Amino acid sequence: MNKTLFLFLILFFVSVISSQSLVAQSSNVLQDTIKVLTKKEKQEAEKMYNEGVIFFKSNKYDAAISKFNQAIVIRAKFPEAFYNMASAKFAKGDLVSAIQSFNYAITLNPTAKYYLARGIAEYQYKEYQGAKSDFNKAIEKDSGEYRIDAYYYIGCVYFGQEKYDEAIENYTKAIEMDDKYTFAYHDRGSAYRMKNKYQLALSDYRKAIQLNPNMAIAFNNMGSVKKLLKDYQGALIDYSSAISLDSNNAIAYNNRGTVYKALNQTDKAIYDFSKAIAINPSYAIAYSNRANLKFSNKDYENALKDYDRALELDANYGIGYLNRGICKEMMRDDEGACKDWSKANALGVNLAGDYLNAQCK
Amino acid sequence: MIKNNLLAILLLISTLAFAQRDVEFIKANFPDNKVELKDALKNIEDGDYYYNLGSSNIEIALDYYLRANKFNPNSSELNYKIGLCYLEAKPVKEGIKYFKKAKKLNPKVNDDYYWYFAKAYHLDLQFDTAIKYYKYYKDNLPPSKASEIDNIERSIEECKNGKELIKKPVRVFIENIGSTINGEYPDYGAVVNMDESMIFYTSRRPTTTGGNRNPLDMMYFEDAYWSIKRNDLWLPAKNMAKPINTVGHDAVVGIAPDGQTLLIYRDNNSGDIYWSKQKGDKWTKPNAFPEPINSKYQESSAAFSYDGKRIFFVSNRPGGYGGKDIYYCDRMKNGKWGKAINLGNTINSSYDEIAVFVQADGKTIYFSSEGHYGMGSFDIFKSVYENGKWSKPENLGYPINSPDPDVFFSIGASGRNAYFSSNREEGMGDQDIYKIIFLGPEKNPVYSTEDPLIASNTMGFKEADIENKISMQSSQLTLLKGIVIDEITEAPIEAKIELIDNDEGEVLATFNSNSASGKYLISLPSGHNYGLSISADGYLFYSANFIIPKAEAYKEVVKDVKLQRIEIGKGIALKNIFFEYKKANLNKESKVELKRLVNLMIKYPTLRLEISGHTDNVGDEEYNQKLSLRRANAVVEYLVRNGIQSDRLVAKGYGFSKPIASNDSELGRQQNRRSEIKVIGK
Repeated sequence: MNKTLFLFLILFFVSVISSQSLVAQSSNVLQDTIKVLTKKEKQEAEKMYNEGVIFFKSNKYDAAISKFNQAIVIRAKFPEAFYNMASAKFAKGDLVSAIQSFNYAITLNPTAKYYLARGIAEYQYKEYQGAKSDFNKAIEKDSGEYRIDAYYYIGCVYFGQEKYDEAIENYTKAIEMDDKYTFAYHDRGSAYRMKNKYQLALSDYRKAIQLNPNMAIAFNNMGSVKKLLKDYQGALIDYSSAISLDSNNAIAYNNRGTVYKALNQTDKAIYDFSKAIAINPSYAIAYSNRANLKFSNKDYENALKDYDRALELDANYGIGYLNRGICKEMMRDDEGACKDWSKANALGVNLAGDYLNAQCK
Repeated sequence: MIKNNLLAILLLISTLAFAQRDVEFIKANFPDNKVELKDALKNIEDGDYYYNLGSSNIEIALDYYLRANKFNPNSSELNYKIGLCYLEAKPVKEGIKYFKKAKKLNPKVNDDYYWYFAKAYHLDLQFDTAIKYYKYYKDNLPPSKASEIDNIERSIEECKNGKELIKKPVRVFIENIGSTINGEYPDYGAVVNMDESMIFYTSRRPTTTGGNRNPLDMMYFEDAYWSIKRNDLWLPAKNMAKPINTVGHDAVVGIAPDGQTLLIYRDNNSGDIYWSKQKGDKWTKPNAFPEPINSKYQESSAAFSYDGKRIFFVSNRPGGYGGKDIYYCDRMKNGKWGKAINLGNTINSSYDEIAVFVQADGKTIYFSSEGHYGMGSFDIFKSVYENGKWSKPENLGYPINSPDPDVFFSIGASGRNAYFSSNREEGMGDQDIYKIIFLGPEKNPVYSTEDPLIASNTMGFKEADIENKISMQSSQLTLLKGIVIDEITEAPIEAKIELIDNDEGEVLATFNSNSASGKYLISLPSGHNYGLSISADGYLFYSANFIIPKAEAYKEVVKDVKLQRIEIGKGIALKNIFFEYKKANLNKESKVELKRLVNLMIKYPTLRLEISGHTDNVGDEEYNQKLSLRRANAVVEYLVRNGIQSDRLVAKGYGFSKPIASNDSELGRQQNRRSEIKVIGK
């Protein structure tokens, strides 16, 4: 509707111009023949698509998907609509569906950009082989930005496969092509961390921070490396930096809490875990950590409440079961303890298996 | 001035303190309460009697003393006696209070005062204070009591051990096994079968066989009791009855690993060990072990090794290391028991070792000792036989052990639970059986951290990577305008204008040019292929084909059209007739133009037309001439099929002989590829 009105206005405007320029010489005021013509069906597809883009940019992914879908219904060969629909699904976390839509987009428009995007979705879906193949396609088809991104993401794939040497190699390629590639420095730092090369990790995290001084996660991760190095004071400073950059950084609060715990500053640790929970009421880990402190304080009843909450939030949180079992044991609920350890053991927490053998029938 | 005041206050306090004087139970002190005094003295006498009987009687003694104390709470001696009772009867803290009061009433309350005062703190786990008073007692010991020094020093050592042991408590739960087993009388010496479903123990309760008390301590004779477990609870214990129990002492001291042989203590022959086998649900009459297991001395407890080939037992026979010691005998091939062997001085100390128990692993023994690294009275120790020798006895630690006697340790086959006997404040009276649940090494809850190690996972898919909005048609509009005039007179013509979508072969719109100005104006979405046809009465129609390219912005296209009157010799190009490449097949896009041609012929029934085909110069002349003729024929055939008489039509193929544009450019060649009509009759 709006568009029709808009057209009308334009035409009206045009008609005024024309009457002045073309008909001015005539004494008679002549009315021109004006015919408004639109190819409605084709316009609708683009209109829907554009509305979808607006929804996407305001993070209204469902609405965006619906619009892109309508665009595609009108115009089946609409690669941008498929691509953006896929991106919206990706943003929503609906990876399988996103990959399907990327498939259509790529059939219509097999560009580096589209391969890269599908690769990222596959990477997120842990479909590492497909992801790697798409990133290689992107490298093949592009010599610019997408190629660099593709190397970066191949690094991420290897990281996901715990092949840290290969990850480092690919992150390094990305850095060689773009020495300001913050993410590549950051992630290479993480890969070094996984290789226990803590100093190299710190150096890369620092580089990332130099390039983006607001990168809270780099501060957080630097703090965690320092914690591994038992540089607790250094870790506290870094986590605090992460928090000052992002006051809603539940992860950094939780991590800082564990450092305070290591330093026996229990009150501060409790504060940090509680703060992490206040920021993210679904943060199972923080509930379990707070429960641990209550447990150490022999406040078993309240510890149990926090453990219960943690496991309500994440029914597959093995460490949570381990900890709750320990608490239940001290509350003389042997059966409950054994059940929890059994669950933790099934979730891969080996220590729980030891407890199970030692304490349970 | 201030000093004087302070002095006055101090004097007042001391006067008040001395106001509580030691009030003896004598007539002079209670001239008006002779009857009550007599009662009180009787209570004290009864209390003394029971106190001297010892063990469980002390609670009775305490009861008498407290009655007397109610009448006269300010007797130093009675307060002291009450303090002594509380050392046994618990709680010890009450004892400390009475001791303090006794001392306050009479600083010389008793020569042994500091020994017991120290003991009270010792039992109350206040080891430093206990050591202080033990030392004070020792330092002020008269020479006549020099023999006590060893004991005092042992107590001090126990306090030092206790200080260390409570610093690192062992991880256990200790629970009273409940009122179905324990009662107000002494209950002790529990053994369980392998799966802990049956318990056998000793009790000195009124249901003892014969119902008699031992005149030595006025307590009921020991009997063996048993119970079974249902749903994790022990059913009420039953007396094992004859033949296990007799009117004398019958105490459970051990069970064979198979759970079918019970070891019994009886006080015959100074105390011997007996065995009884279970047959069905009955127990055989107990038989005393022969020498050298039993002797004329006291054998008080025993335990089989896991294979039944060795028996460990406790005896106070001479030749040991002091007091009761632990020995063993091996069963020989002939079925007899070999000689009794003392376990040696690693295990046996100069103090008593009692209550031996062998774990199912066959190499670990548990026993109670008043020696070794103990924290007071009997503590439970563990030793492992490895590499040909017994390991140094290891104190099982606090809170299993306490300064009070902790004895009769036995452990279930699973190793997770154990049982022992102790007299604790939380008990049901005198000794009780407690269950130990071993928690194993400390279980520390694990703290979880989380690190977002991959930046792109946390910081997200770049929004800029999505495809942008597509510019809408409204901004890509092309304005097509022009004037329709007569070719000769240039007079404006009100012409009918048809706009055709050549992609779809349909008429999009029909409208007229202005009759006065001949002007028309039309807006078109860019990026499409259009056909335009302009017709007016008496004129040949004009057809044009044009693609309006995708324009970035608003654009005007001017197309002025001169219509030709229908006159012989006049002709037009049919720009909206299309053929397949190199063929004479009409494309469907041509339909609209062809219909228009049909209509023209119908409207002017006398009109005769030459239809001609033209090509570009690509290819040879003959080929092009033939192709152009076939194409002209195709148009003619269409018209004939649509009812036009064939004699009104002439098809001509001109090949590339009549170009209207240069063949050097694609645009020119495109213009040359055309169909034309020419009026040849009207």
